[in-house]
Amino acid sequence: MTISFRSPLGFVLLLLAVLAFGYLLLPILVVVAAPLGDTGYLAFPPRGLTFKWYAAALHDTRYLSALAVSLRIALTSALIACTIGVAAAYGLTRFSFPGRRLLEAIFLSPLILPTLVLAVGLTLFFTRTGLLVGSWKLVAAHVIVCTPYVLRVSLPVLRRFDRSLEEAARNLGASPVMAFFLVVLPVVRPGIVAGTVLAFITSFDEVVLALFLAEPGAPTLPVMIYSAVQLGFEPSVAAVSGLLVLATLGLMILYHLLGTFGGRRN
Amino acid sequence: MDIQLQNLRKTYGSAVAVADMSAKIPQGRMLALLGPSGCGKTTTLRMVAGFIAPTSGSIRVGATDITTLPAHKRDTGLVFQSYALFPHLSAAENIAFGLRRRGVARAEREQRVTAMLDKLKLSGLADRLPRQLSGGQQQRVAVARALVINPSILLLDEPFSNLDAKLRESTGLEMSRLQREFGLTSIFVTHDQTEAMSIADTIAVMKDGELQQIGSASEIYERPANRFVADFIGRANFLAGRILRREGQDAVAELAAGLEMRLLDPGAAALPGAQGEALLRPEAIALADHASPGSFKATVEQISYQGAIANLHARLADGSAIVASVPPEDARGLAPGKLVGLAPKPAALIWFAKS
Repeated sequence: MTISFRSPLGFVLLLLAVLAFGYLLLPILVVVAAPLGDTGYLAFPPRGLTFKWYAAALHDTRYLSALAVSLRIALTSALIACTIGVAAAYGLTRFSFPGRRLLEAIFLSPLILPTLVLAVGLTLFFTRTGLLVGSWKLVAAHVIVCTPYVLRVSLPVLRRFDRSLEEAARNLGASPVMAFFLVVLPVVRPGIVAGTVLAFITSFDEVVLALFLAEPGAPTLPVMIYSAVQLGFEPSVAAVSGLLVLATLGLMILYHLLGTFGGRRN
Repeated sequence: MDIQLQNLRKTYGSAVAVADMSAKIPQGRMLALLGPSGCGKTTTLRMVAGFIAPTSGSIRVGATDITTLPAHKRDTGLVFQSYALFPHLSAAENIAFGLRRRGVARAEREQRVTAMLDKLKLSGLADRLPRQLSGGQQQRVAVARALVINPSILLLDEPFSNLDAKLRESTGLEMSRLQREFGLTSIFVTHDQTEAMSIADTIAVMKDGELQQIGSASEIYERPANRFVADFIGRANFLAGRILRREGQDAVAELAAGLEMRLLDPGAAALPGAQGEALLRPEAIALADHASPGSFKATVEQISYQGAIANLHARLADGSAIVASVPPEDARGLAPGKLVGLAPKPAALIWFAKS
């Protein structure tokens, strides 16, 4: 159904859409624009124009090392979550066994479990057992919350996957493992990439688990921003957030390009 | 190489998908597995391809028993009903897939792929992705992909069912030509009897997992083993009747309430008093005067001209419907309501005892 924007209903819909997007996007504009002001405190609309807060943010080694920690943890978590999530999704869609629905529900349950509960539980668990050390504690925690995102996106993609493609690969001489890597994976790759990007963003953005489980000397970027905001809201914090917004925008564009052109060839 | 299916059986719990299927396909010949959906033909094919493990029985290719060999180690080329082309690979890469798995060196691979593209009139389309190809082109890529590996067995799973009628016939003949040229032993699954008759050397008719009859197209058409086969292959009239008396090998029956007809060699079970049905093919009926002896009296209900023949739909005295295919010039001057005589040609009646 198409509704013309010239009709009264269409106009109302357009107005609502503009308002909704404005409501959602305006705070982001504030975050990006406010540090451009030359006031020494955050003001919007910014007065004067300076890049010094952005420059300060880019030269602040605390933020840079926190960014490095966040990137490392998000990347590791996303890759592990991708591996576990895709393997689980493949097993859940390909084989039928008793308890399959239950297993699927368990895999997806971290989505509805309050993060705080998980954080407290894991802190106690790691303290008691000493099972993992250093940043691996946080990686493990993030894998738990990120895997459902990969699974959520991979399950429908693998369910829709035409099994005769896999059979064709085997018929032509590929072992089941080869068939998976040469045919199944490339065909469902857009879905898996989407899930992994989601997992990466979730981990990168996560603050509760990071507060509890990050190494004392190596906070993640969200934790760093969180403490900076608590200490005093200086414009460089907003500049860091502004940079993150721009980086995310870049990532989205990159993902879009990968999704459009990357899906064509292996 | 020749293929031998021996007492092949597949059950799912108490459901029998294929029951004791046996067939032998000599080197270079094509067997069609023909039957309605759910008859077990696709299950049989998938057992040969190695996607389904038989419950019992064996599959031999040449002297080798391949019953338990995993699918990727069987030397079979399968053309899927959906074509199953790899959507992320170009036509040429799709065709090269099997050669890569066999470790064929790059130069030879490229040369064989090019030759196959040429043979299937696909040159110029080598770099297209499957979704950029028409249905007929996709079908040819699927065939090329199966043929290029030079398999010892070619398997075809309803490969023409997604093509339109005109393309289907020419593609079928082309497929048959290629199969002969490559000397491939083939199994071909179809529910279309015309397709099976036009390209297969041998036809196995299946129903509910059971093999009904196996033989050449003419054997199956002219001497169907049972009523199902007679009905499934071609058009058939069945006339209810009763055996009156034996005359040596032959018998005389009363058919369609009233007419005495001689049945040639109806089998030992056709004893006087036995009930059954006689098969009469529409083209084995000649038009006669309604009073002439040895012909069924029938009332014309409809005449449909088909060009080469005319189909005469008529009703017999006992109320049963009958179709006769006659030369159009014979049907000229007939109109619904007219009384005609329908005379079975000699040896046209085949008796099936009531089971």
